Amino acid sequence: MLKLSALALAIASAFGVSAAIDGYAPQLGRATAAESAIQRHLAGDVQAIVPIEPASGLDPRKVDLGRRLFHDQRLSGDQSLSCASCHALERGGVDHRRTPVGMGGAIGGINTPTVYNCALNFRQFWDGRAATLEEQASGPILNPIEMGATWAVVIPRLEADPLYVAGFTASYDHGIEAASITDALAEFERSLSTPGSRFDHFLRGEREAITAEEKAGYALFVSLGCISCHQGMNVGGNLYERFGIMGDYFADRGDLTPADQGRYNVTHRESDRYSFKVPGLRNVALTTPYFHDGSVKTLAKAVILMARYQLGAELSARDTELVVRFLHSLSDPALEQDP
Amino acid sequence: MIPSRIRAVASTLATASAAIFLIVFLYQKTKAVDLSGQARLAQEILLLRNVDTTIDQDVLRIRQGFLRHYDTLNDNLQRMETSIARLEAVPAYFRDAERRAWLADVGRFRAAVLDKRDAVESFKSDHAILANSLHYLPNLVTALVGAGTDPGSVGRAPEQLRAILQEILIYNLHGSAADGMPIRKSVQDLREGDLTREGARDRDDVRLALNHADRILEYKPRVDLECERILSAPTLRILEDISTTMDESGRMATWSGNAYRIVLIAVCALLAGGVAYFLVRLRVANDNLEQRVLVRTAALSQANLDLEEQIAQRQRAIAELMSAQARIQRIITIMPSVLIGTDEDQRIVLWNARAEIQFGISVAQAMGRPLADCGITWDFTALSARLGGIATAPIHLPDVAFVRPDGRPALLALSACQLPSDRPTAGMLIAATDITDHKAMEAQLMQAQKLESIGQLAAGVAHEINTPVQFIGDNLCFLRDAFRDLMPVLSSSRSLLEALDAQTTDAAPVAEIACLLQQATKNADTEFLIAEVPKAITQAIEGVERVATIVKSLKEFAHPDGGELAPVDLQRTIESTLNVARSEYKYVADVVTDFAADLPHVQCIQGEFNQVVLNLIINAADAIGDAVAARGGRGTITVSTRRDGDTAELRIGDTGTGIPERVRAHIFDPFFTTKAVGKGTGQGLTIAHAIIVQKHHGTMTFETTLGQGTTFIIRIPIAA
Repeated sequence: MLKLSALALAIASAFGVSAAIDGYAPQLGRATAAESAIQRHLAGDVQAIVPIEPASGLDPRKVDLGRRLFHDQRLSGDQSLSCASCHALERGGVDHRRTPVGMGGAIGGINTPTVYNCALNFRQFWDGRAATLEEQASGPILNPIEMGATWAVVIPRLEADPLYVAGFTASYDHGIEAASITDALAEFERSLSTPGSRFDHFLRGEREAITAEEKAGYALFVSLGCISCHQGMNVGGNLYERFGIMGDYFADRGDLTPADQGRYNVTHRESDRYSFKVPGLRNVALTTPYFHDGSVKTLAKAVILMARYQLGAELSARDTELVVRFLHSLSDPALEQDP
Repeated sequence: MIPSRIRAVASTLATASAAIFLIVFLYQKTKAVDLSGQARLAQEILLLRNVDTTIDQDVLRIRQGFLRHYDTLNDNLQRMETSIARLEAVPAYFRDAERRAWLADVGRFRAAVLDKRDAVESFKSDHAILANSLHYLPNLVTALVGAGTDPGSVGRAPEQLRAILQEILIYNLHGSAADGMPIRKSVQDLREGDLTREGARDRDDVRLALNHADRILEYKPRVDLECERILSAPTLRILEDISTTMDESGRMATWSGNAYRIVLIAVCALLAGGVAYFLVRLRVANDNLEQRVLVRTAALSQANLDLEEQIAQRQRAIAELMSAQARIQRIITIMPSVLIGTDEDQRIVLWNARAEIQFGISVAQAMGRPLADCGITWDFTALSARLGGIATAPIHLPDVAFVRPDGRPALLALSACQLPSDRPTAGMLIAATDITDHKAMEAQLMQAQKLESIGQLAAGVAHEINTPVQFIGDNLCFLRDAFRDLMPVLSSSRSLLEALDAQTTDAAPVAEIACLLQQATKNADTEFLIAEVPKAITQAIEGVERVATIVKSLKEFAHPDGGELAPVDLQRTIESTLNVARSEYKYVADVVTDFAADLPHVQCIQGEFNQVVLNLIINAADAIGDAVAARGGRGTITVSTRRDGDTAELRIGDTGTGIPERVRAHIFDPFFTTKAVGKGTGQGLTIAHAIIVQKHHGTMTFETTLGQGTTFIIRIPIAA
């Protein structure tokens, strides 16, 4: 009990200091509610964002196999692309294009999501059509406008490589086959968790791990309601939500594409039209451009549009900046350091 | 008479087989029911019930705001879906009808889970919107009412909004769908009402608040419906059904097993009664039969039985013989050694697979040919000479040379024995193994060991030579300086002699030159030089002799023997070894030697013998080193030789630590070492032992006392 009240006191004083230093004067009411929300949040009873637990229980041999496959261009039809071509591990796990460029320059229909922490997502793909990472892994490989391969082509190629033969024989009863390839890829992807962000440190009790401004941004993130959807370990990635609750995003943007139909493409239920898997916000500062259509290049713009269409709020420049600062604290320094 | 008997036998057989069939059938039915599958399923169902309840709880907690994220909800749904597959593994004791019922139940359960998952997905999406508006709206209204963000505002909208907010909060807590209608109307009224009296900024906030109120009114009933759909999902009930089906099946299986058991016991009892009855009847019938017929029939059938028994025995014996034969054939075939057998005429009758591979000669080629002409490239004349004594005892030849099919010379280790025979000549069995690689390995190991000791010695020898070379150098420098100093004296002397020859003409220069000579003699300190130069020369020569001794010793130590036994002066060769090994022991021990004067030259392979001595001296020095490190001071290595009849004995003793009891039995084992890693290979004593025992036909033993030291004793015959 003593410990809890001490923590609450410390947080409260941190906010007091931050307000004094920046001259940041939040709107009355909102700010006090936000502070008390954060205090409640940190007191532990209603923690909405959960620190990432490092991946455990993985088979290092399968992870190793998966890593090799992930970077192997033999998995694409004309051997020009690997998984890593779009999910560049040194660039936040994405390709930084609006939509991906596949085999022979074909243009994909939807923005590339990051592979980092993808194991934390409750479903895979924007429309959630794959229930597991194993199921997802074959998607882009067999997609004619992505890697454009077939298993009948890929498996003999891998079987011609003694390293793969040895690796698969050691780990799988049936050697090289579609199931073992996707299993190894999935095992590797499970190893791509990033538990080292400053915000994780903050959640684990290091109250100085994030700056006063980032704390203020977090308070806004809670009080504005972003946290209603972006919660859990992956700060999202665990529910579907309609895009455009307080406004019509697609009418305002125009040029409706098939991909914009979202989960409707899977279920064909009217209630699922324009509904997408809420993306996790882990390392979001490193994965521009944003949204399923990749139409937004800056995090600030993404925050403004999200607030407008999902929450009905028009954010001030100052509030936007603070939320963006907070989102930066979700980046794992291990990814930021990469060129 | 006879046909009726056959009929009786036939009917008895039929009855007996029917009874046996019945008993076997009943026994099968009573086999214990394997309930482990049931236990696993029960556990699975229990887990599912827990997970299902946890999902319901989490939904309620989320709805009430006690849980703010969906992770646990997703995890539990996932768990539920994956465990359905495990439910589909139906226990083995299920009957077909039960199996169908079970799978139908599981199918229903799967549908219910998928339906529930759908409801949860909708709940998650809708609840996020509802929770957000429920959170946001009060803050907004409080801000509007409390401060009035717009100074110019004089409107009443904020108060109306607060009233709506209150109604909404109450509605959210326990409102039915109908309760939403009036609130909806209030919101509508406020939106369409006059907002012009509000400030511009307030007006925006009021509109936003009304939007959020709309969302609450829209999504609250939806979330409630979804909650109800989730909480009233039939998953738990179906699990109960499944559980009941399973329990009943288990009970039925157990019950029917018990029932069959009772029937089985009854049938057995009945059968026993019947058999007893028939026995009694048979007895009575027998008594009535004519005795002669009985006797003859009995005799006949007995004879018949005996014959059959004999035939059966014979067949069994033949079968056993054949299987034994096949077994032996298999053993011979897969035997990893060469096996060759000959008959009394020395013709080949056995030639196994290994022999085919080893000599490149197939069974077909070899069979029936004389051993002398079987195609193996070897000196058969010499071999048959060596096999001369085979009649008395098996012969082992460790080094039979032959040529492999690829033309490379190789060595066989060959054993041969005579097969028992009652004729004057006898067949023989030859077993052989190609030991060429083995031999090559042994030789390599020896060489490696020798290189190791030479390497170890090189540093020490260099040091030993360095010291005399240094003082030889010093003395030569001194002599060079002395000669330089003496040069003026010599030249003055020569001038004086020339002057004396010319003295007749002029006397003055003689006196002058004599004076110069005197001066030069004084300058050169001739007295000192005359005293010191001879000493320097002697020292330099001594130094050179020391170097020469060491070099000679090293040469003798590394004596390139041809690997043959030759007469060797043990004293001399041991002294050489001591000389080259000096640097190994001189810091820790003194060497005391005691060589027997009457010891003649001994038959030795000098190089290998030296290696043994060196090895023992290094071991002695190491043992003393350990002891000295513990207690200080210096130790003593005692080397002595002695003649004992036809045997020469060499003892090398140290005052080291001694060998502990538990390792004594192992010190000649390969790779056994007590030295630190990297200091020894553990091969030294093994190889030394092999050299003495195998190559010199001697013995190598040791005496040791813990804390006092160890003495190794080598005894080798003087004449080979």
